[in-house]
Amino acid sequence: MKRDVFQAIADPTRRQIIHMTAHESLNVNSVASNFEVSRTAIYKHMKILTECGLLIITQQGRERFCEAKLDKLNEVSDWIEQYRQLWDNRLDKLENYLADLQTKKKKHAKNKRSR
Amino acid sequence: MQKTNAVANAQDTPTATREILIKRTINAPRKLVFEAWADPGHLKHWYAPDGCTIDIVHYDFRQGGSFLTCIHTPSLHDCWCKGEFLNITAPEKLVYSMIIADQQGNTVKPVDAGMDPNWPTKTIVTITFEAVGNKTNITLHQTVDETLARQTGAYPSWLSMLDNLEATLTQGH
Repeated sequence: MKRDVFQAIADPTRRQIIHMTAHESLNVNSVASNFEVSRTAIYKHMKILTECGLLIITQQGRERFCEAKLDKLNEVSDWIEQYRQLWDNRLDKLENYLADLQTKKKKHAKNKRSR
Repeated sequence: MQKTNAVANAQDTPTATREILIKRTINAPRKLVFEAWADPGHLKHWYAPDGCTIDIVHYDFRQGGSFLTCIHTPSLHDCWCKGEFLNITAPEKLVYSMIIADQQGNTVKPVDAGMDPNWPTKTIVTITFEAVGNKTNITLHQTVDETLARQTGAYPSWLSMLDNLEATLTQGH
């Protein structure tokens, strides 16, 4: 399954992991210890973030460090992409609305004629 | 329904030019499609994105006229937007500005509206309506009306924006 950035940041725990590791590289275990959920759960979140390219985990000696890779967030913060999605959605709605409107008009015209 | 966005994007590479170009064929006569934009009675039925509602505070549809709208998102975040109708050539062309605003219709900085500082305060939307039989080809063009001071490395602002984005994104995906 291909994961995307939007999916990655939809989860509050994952957003928190990004927040924590945005400015410094942190030990994976110390990140996990900040959460009340199990380490396994946090590692799963980290795995998803890594798969999306939002987090990089590096081995340094016996320790593993993770750091947020924020370039990927361009996809999210980019106003062009946001507006494009907005317009796509709007134009879908416009099409549906006008299709309904025309169907109603036709029915109305038919009723008039048959009277 | 016919979507030609992908093609348009590939040709125009809008990320390089910082512009949006969308082409659509709508299965309705041009006059009606134009009216859907001109008449707030029509507009309120489709202009708000899925899951959102819209209040059209005022909508003075004439050249030089202004509008003020508010889109209520599922996360209860209100997006106020104002603008001016710069060119109305019914039923062929419509040009208007979109400016991030507050409830009183004052211009608001993108950051204060919970957006990325790189977000443009003002954009210009140009829509052309081309009649093809009983269908209408729409070309929608959105450009930035100001030089964006792009702050490279302004990452913290992105982070603060993520929370605001959550509702819209989870909904769309």
